[in-house]
Amino acid sequence: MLKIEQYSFHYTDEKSEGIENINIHVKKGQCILLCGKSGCGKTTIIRAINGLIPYFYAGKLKGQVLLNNQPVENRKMYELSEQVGTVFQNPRSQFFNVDTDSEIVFGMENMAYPKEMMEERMRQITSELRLERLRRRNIFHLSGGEKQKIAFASVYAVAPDIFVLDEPSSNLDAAAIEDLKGMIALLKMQGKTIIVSEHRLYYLKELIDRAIVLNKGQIVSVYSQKDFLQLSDLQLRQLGLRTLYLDNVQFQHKSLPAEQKVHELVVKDVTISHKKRKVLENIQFTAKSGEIIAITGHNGAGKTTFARAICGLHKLSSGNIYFNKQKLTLKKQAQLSYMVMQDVNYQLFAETVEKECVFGVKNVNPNLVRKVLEEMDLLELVNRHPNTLSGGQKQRLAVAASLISEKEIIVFDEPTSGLDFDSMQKVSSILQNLAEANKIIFVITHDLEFIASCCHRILRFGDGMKQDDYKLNKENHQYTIETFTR
Amino acid sequence: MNKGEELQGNMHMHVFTFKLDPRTKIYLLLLVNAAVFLSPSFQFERILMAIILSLCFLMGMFSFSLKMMLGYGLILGVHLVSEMFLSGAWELMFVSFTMFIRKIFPCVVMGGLLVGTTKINEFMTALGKIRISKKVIIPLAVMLRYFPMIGEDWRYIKDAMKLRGISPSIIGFLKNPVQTVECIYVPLLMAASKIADELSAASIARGIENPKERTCFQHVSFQFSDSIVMFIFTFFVFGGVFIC
Repeated sequence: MLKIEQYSFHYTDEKSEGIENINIHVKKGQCILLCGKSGCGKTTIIRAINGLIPYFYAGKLKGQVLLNNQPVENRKMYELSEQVGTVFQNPRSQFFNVDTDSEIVFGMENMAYPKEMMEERMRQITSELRLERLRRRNIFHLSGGEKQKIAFASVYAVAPDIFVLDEPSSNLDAAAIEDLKGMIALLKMQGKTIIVSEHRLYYLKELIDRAIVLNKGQIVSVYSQKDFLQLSDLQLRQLGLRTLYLDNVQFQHKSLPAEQKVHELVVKDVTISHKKRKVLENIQFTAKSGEIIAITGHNGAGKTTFARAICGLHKLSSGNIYFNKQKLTLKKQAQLSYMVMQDVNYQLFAETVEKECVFGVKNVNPNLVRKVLEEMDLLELVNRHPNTLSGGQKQRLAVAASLISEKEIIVFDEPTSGLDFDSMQKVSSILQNLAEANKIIFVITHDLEFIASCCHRILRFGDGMKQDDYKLNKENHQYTIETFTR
Repeated sequence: MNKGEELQGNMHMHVFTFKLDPRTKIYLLLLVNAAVFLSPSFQFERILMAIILSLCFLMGMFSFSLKMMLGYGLILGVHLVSEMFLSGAWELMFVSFTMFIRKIFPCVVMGGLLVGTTKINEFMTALGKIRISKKVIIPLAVMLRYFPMIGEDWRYIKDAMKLRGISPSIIGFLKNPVQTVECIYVPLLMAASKIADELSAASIARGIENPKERTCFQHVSFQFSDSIVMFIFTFFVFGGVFIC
């Protein structure tokens, strides 16, 4: 059905990594997993299959991709789109419409389906994918998981033979990942061919027929499902892969760093509303510096709103926040705290790394700048433009800026979404360094492996309130796993 | 998900009191542009504004028309006050500034109406029907698609600015114009170029370049209401130029 033969590709802009001598044969009805470290070439292979390479992305190409024995290169993109459907990584930028119904029918409209046929197909999809709740909605009001479901439905609507999915779980919580798994299982049952590139592997383990591991643009190994599932944790680490069994995650149980002067953040009877609707009610807790607190809960539970409230970006409806017994105003909160956003590009403003660090800071202390840049491993990059940095470096730069403006509370919004094992470990060590430096750290996350690697405490939101608040230890780690796999 | 948001989303696009064909709206936008140029008097402008705002209201953009009405009133107020109490260079500055905004205001409101009440697939189908090439339609549609996204980007950027101690308000802008502008356009441009790229790739992969004439899930055609609205606007603009 699909043959990739001696395929090499290098992008003209040389920013993204290419692939070298790839050979993959896929039979009809198989599900193939592409995995490996960030920048290993997974996405490039996906683009070679759906035809965006060479049509949209320019570069040097050798070899060929054959679809039903015809080279993809010679086909028109709109012909290909009837056979190969792609679900992209970022749900935000793959939507062409602003309401869900129009988005679902977008592909069908392009292919000029008659109106009656569209209506019939729409009814069918709505029941097969259980979309009743999502019909006729504004896309900007959907959660990440719901968006991904609509993206999937719109590709599913035109019934291609091959589905390619590019890191579809990056922005999803545990429940949404279960939904995604269900949708892939449905495709498999219908005999569709599926190629999925992914970092999170655990949800795919029953679905895949073959796993292809890549590194630096080359295939390093190919496993059958059975062999792949028998890889030990150590072997997975060496390949740069995430865990296959979420229930086996090893908790580190780091103890709190010993520090003389402890800062204390007290959140008292806090209620937060969004557009006159209560998002979270009666939240209370005390956070101490040196603690890394994971904020968890399903998509839409109010985690981000809560984080914005801590940082003084969202007004409290009632209640107060105290820092070292002093009551904080919104302005004071914003001065004390910093948020490292999920898309860190929004918070980089200056033209060099060095200027970025001191942007907006009065009375700059040059020694501190040097020390922080060294700690964040950015010293060699001081003259680079922030936008030329890699994702991880940008994240570290945002953290550096917060340290130089002497923030005491640092909130991370999903810092590990779409990261491989090594990058996740790096983020986790940054958080631990910040804890050593006596900061109060909150981290919004869906990533259990990441929580296990560095967090001390879990705050779980749901149903408009705080549902859990406990320090991680040997007794409750089983419970934590259950809340993530249920 | 939650009732409040759902309602708001629906209100914006579904509970129309009546609908217009996208072609009518494009015609009105062009017409209003012409009217602003031809405008013979202040009287004419105010009536034009009133007609546009009533149209917005009738098409279900309640809060939008209210906000625009307040905005227009505010501009008129500033204009009046500065004419009465200021003199010399200050008067010149304020009066010409408010005059400029007042002049383009009808176009802005009309553009808002077009973006706010038109689904992108309707827009594309309507343009396709008057035989405009896909090479023109696709970039226009991407642009229309990007407008609401700017709002979302702006929210993130505002947060990021506040965390750096830079105020994303008018006062902040007056205190520190260069820095404020830099803070807004650098991330906005970065986000825009990345999104435009991904959006194009995604739409190509979904067959947007198919040469067949697009079909549309929604019904797009001229109705009686289209002819009435077009008649009223055309009559007013050309009649008004002579009468007022």
